[in-house]
Amino acid sequence: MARQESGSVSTADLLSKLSGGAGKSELAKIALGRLAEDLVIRRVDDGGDEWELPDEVRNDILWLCDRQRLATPNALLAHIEDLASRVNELEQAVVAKDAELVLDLLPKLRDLIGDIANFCRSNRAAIVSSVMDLKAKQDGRTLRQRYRAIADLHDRYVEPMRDIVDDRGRLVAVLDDLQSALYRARLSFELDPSIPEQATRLIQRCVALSRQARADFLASSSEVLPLYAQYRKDTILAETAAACLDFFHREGSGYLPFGRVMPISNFRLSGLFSGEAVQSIMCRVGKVETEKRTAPRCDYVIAADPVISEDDVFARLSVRGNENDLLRWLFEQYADCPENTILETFSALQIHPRLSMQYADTPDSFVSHHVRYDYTPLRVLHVS
Amino acid sequence: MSANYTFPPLLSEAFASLTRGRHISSDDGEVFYAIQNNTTAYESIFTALGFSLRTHSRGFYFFEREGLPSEAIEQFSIFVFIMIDWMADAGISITDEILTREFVVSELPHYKTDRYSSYMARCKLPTDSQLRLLLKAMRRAGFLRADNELISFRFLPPIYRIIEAGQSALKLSKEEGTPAAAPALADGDNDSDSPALLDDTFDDEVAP
Repeated sequence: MARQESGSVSTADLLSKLSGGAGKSELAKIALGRLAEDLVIRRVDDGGDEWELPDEVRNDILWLCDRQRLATPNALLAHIEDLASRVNELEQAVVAKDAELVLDLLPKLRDLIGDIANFCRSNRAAIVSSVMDLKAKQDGRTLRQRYRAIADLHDRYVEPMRDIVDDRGRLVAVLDDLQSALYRARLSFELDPSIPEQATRLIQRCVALSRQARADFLASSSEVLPLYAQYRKDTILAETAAACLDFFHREGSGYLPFGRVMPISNFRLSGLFSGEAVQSIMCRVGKVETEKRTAPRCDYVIAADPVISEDDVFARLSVRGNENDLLRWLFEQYADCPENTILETFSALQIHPRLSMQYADTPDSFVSHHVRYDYTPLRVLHVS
Repeated sequence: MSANYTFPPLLSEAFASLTRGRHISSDDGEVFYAIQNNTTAYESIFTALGFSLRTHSRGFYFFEREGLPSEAIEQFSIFVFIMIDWMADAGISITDEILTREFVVSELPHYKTDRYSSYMARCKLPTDSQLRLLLKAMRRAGFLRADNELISFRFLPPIYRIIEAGQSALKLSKEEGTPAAAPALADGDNDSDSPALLDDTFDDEVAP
């Protein structure tokens, strides 16, 4: 479609474009009429034959173009391979010393470099715009939907770019080849009036493109990576919560072994300490010195328990000669003594070497101090 | 212990809090900084007494004990996971806001949908008043900071212990093949030595 210098388009050209092929001219006229009616296009001059886009429409379309220029790195690779192909042609033209071919190739190389630069720039703008939309959170998307969107940006548009624009990537390799070819062209055609100058400019564009592509990639990844990492963490948390709730829904109480993975202290303090000093410190009582102990104060004298003398027992037994029931005899002889004293004495006498004893054949019982004793009597045969 | 031993500061306050199951974070003020600045001393004293002081990477301290299963822990977990699930559906960034957002109690999602209400009923928190008891228990344990009237609250870093426990428990459960139920509480475990965290007769330590 031929464009006038003013940027307008003739009616014939517009109709040709809109018709898209033979037999559709009527439809094209209708389409043109609709575009004019909706103010998408307007005549340059009233009644004239030229059409143009109003400024506001042009700006919107440019914005859409930028926004929609989110293309995969494969599209960039296609441009780079086009460039590589032209570089080959340039090298061959330089070797063949074909100045005319070199002059024909140089603008094409310039355009291709421009296309790659535009691609990188508009891709960066598109990525940044997408990230801004996600951050604004005004679209009602859930966390999972946002994560899928940012993961798509990361996996399809950002990460693959890294390998392309890297120092060892395809773009840098092709630009290096191009620069080499241009240096050789400059040398081979140093007397040509325009080749050296064009080649020098193109070398500068190569350097600029290499820097710009890397900068665009870094800018894109610096927008995407933090949000990607954040949404990824958020998604992991959300999935954990959802999975735990699902488990709980299915299994009920005790749904997961929390007691094993999250033990929580819930001690009481009583009975935990062996020393008063430690307990006092840990329980905020204050400093306690355990070395000094004050004796309990007493206003009355507590009589000691009477003790049964061993000698007295043997003296009484010797007078008696023998005794058929040592335990009952002790309770009778030492009725004033406490029960435990009598029992301790009996216990000691059972193994005393001065007494020769024998158990009775039949058990017996008696009551003393409100206690009934069922036992086999121990008979004292001899006191030595 | 030697009679000349110098104890680290606020030892008794720290011990009292930690033995009651509290997770001490920077929100606890001086006692947190006392532990932070004397961690080795605290660890060695508590180890000698038979306690295990743990430092979490998110900057809080707690006693770890081979646990009796606790119904309260399960309730904490359901409460937190409902919060996270709701935040995800609302498109709210969890990592950004879980520790910074002020949640209004009356606007909590736990009884706003049938699904969430059923979870709450199933973990024995069918009413708003039960939820408030839970919030008080979580406040005592150091998982959140809330005003006395429980109008709003903010989660504290120890909440990540619950989240990570959920991840560990899921992993453990999958490794073992089937969801492993926590052992049921035996009668003897309901004695005074194992107070329920929802016990309202506990000292209610209000966050400063």
